[in-house]
Amino acid sequence: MELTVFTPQQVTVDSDGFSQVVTMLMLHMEGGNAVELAVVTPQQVTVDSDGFSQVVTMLMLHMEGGNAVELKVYVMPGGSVHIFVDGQVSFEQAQQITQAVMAQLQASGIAFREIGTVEQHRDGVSHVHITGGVHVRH
Amino acid sequence: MPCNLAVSITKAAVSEAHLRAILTPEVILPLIEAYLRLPGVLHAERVTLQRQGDAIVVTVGRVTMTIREGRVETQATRGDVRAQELTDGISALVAGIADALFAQQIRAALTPFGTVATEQVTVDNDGVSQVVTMLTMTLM
Repeated sequence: MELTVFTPQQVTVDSDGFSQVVTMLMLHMEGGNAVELAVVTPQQVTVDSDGFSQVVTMLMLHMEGGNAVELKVYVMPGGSVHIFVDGQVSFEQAQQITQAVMAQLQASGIAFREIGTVEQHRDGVSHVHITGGVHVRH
Repeated sequence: MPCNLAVSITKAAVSEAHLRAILTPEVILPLIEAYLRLPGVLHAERVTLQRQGDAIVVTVGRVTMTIREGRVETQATRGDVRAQELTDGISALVAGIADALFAQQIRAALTPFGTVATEQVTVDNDGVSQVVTMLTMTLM
């Protein structure tokens, strides 16, 4: 299956009555379904694609209140990666962002043999250390 | 204080086969040539470098090394210190090429999300100091 990732677009959506600017990515699978990747809650929606009605999975990635989220991917020797998500986001949002990143990497042909669970590291004032992760100075 | 600061952390790893697949003869041949030209690598030895199918065969003096899918096989007399030195050097080079190309793949895959900054940093990974590629991006 051939996957094509379209250029990300900033679009304005109505979310529960609030207008929000979100980033939308479109993943197109040749001969198959189109997936709009704009991340957060996966939803099954029906779209019109060239005159054909198709059910696609839509993920919304939207940063409420315009908060910036920092994504750091450490590429380690021997073919492993550590993905850090930080910023004014909840752990659930960080999880969703991580899952979107993993989906994007895999859609690009990077076949991971194992993927760890997304670990909660910091929530509010608590600051929990994860053993086995990389440590950097900050 | 050294610390890993983030809301969430996750880890993933590709198979060794994925890394080996990156190391095609077309990619590594010019890099091995460049490595052998570095000062101090060769000791006035005769060198031949040729591609044989999916492998690269490097002969340095009496030592012959065959590099295929990231693995280095050496033909030399037992206990040949020079052969070990050359094998270690080429093996480290090939591993470094795989890591650099893998980092490039990850970087290219992240590009649809926005601008990706690349930096080489030293981290403490379970007590082992390692130089890694750090890719950073800000999602707005």
